[in-house]
Amino acid sequence: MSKLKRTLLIALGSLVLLFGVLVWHVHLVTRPKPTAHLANIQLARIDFLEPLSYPEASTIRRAIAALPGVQHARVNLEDQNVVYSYDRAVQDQQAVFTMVNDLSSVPCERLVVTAEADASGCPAMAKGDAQDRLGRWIAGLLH
Amino acid sequence: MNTLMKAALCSALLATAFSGCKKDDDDPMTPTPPAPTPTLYQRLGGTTMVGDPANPGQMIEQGYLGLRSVVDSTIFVIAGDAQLQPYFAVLLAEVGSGDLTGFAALSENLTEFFAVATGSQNYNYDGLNMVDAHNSANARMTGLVTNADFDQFIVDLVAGAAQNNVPTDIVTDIGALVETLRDPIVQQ
Repeated sequence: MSKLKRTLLIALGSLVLLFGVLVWHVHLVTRPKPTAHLANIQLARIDFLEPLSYPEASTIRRAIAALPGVQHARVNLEDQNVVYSYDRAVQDQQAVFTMVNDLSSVPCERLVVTAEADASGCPAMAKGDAQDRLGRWIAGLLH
Repeated sequence: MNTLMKAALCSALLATAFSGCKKDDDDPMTPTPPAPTPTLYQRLGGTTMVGDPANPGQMIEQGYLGLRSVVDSTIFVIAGDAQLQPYFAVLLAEVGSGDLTGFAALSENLTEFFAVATGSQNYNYDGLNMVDAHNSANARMTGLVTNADFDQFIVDLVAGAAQNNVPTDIVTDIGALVETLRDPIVQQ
C-alpha cells in the first residue's frame, strides 16, 4: 500500500473513531435524566403592587394551585409576589394572570422578563451555541 | 523435680514471657479501624435506588432525589426573592415550544453540582466552574455577586431544605459546604 493511501486510511480511521466517541458522549449526556419531568415546566411570577393580607394570599395561592396544569404555587408575602410552575402544554401565563387579577383586591402585574434581563445572570445552561446545536442534532438521531 | 520437668517449666515460662511481647496486630482482640465517615451524599440516602415520584416507572438514587427536591424548592424561593431573582431572570423567561426552560436547566445543573460536591460517584457536573461562572469576564455577569447576595442565597437554600424536612444536621453541613464557595463566587 502506498504511503499516501496508508496516511489517508489512518486519518479516516481516526476521524471515524473520534466521531464515534463524540456520538457516545452525546448519548451519555442526553439520555433521559432525572429532571426529565421538568422539561415542559415553566415558572412564572405575579407581583402585587400593594401589600397582600395573609388570608387573601392564601386564597390566591390555592386558586392558582387548583388550575389545570399548575404544579405548585408559593406566595412571598414580604416581596409581595406569587411564583407558580405550570405545564406549558396545558396552561398559559396570561390566563392565570387574568384569573388572579379578577380575584385579587390588590392591583397586580405579570412579571415579564425582558430580553436584556434574560441575557444577564445565571445562564442555567449554554443554549444555542454551535456545540449545543450539534449535540441536540445527534441526540435527535439517538433518542 | 527432674531435669525434663524443669526444662518444660522453663519453656512454658519463656513462651508466656515472649507471647506478652507479641505485636498488637497479631492479637485478634486488636480494635479494628473505625468505619469511614459517610459522605453528605450517603447521609441523604446515597445510591439506594428508590422510585422517582416525579417520573413514574423510573428509579433514582435516593441521595440525588433528596438533592433535587431541595434544589427545586430553593429555585422557587429564589424566583420570588426580590434580591436574588434578577441574577436568575432565566428562571422566569418564557421559552418557545420545544425549548428547555430555565427552571429545568438550572434544576439539572444545580442538582448535579451538589451531587458531585456532596460525594456522589455516579453523576457528573459539566457546567462552568464557580469562578468563571461569576466573574466579570463572563458576559452575562453584568453585576458581580456581593456578600449580602451570597448570604441571601444561603437563606433561600435553607428555606428550600426546610420545605423538604431535611434534618437540621444535614442542612448545617450543606450550608457549610456552600460557604466554601463564597470566595470563588463573591468577586466584588
